[in-house]
Amino acid sequence: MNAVVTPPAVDRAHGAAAWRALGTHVDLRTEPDIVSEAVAIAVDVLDEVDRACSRFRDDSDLGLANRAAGHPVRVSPVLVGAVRVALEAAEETDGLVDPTLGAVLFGSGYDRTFALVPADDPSPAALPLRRASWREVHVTDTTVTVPPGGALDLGATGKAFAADLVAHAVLDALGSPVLVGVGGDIRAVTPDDDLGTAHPVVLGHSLADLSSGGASARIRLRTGGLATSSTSARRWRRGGRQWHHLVDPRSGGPASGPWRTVSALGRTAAAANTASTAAVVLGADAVTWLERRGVAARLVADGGEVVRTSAWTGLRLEEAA
Amino acid sequence: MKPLLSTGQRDRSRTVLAVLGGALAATAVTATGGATALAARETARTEAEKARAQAAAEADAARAHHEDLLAWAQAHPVVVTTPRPERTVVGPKVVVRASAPGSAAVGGTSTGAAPSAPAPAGPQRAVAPAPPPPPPAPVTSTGS
Repeated sequence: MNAVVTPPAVDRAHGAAAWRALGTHVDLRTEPDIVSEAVAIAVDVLDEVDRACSRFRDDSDLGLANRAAGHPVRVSPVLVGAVRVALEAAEETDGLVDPTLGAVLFGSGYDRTFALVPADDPSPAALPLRRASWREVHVTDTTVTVPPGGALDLGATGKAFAADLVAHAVLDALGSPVLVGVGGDIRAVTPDDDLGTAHPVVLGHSLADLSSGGASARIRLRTGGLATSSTSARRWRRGGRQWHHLVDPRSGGPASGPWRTVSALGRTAAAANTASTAAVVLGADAVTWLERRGVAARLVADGGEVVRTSAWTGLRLEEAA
Repeated sequence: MKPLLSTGQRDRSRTVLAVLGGALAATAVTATGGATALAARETARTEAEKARAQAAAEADAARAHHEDLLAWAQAHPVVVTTPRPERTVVGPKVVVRASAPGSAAVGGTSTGAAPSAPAPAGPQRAVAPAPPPPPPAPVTSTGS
């Protein structure tokens, strides 16, 4: 199975392309004369990420590692890199961004690619009584060991890591600046110290919300990472309970607010996603947590109130509406 | 000569003998069947007990073997390998760059975010260039 489910729509005049892969939308911006080559590289890299990191493919490296929990499993370098980034995110957030929530997501019904998850399944959730700890995950240069009874899910940092990977692959192969967005997690890189083009980026709760005229903000990004995490996306009901994909590892249930959507900047897309996911999960203490770490972030509460960290405000990122 | 038994007595004797013979035969058949059934039931019970004991012994042996295997596996971890196609699209340099320590480190805001203030306009051209084609839709960053 190829990760690309729709052929990329390429705008050669502007060096822009958009398509769907990894179950989400992908955007690419680069120089017009190399856009086709950049898209070809991105498609191949995302296909490899899918084969390595998909939780829903029996033949993926991650599927193999999850099924052989308790044993070291030889996996591809891409999965090794993805797990290392996921563990660093867990370390950085003291477990708020936890890659071992796979069993919870499986048990709550998110056990297949999201398009196939029933919107409202009345059968009870089968949540694990005891969860494995991310500290029990072991990774070497060639193997990954999932703790017994556990299951890895790289949904939090996986797409951001994919954006970082594609950006580096294009820069490495073509030597040109590129911006890549995978499911809203964005990474822009430029050769050397080139400032690059300031790409406009629209922030919102979800694509569906944006297309129906929902609240949005617009910023410009030259280099680095930008990520948005939202409880508005990937929602389903199981056993009478509303679930979404952002699970609070402290409770084992969906993160409960007060933030609906958090956008954050970082040196990489993975770093930005780590901050935005942790903020949604952390809830009321998120602003203090972000300020203490100097993260530029924009938080939108369930009621629509917008809060910006001082780093975000200081950068004067948002364009006037 | 006078017979020992009268005709009536002879007939009664014959009848009594026939009844007694029949009863004896029926009793013998019943007793034989009962004894056979009893013996069969006893044999079946013995066999069932023997089978139960054997099954329990086999289960105990299997459990012990399983525990031995578990103990051995814990003491001798092995790498699970599956033949897989070589993947060369993403080179090691790219993976290392994307997953280097600090990749997920929060904070230290990217300096690449551009302030929203517009850049100062350049010198006016004498002739306005042809209008460029409409730009693509901006990239979106949303929950997904």
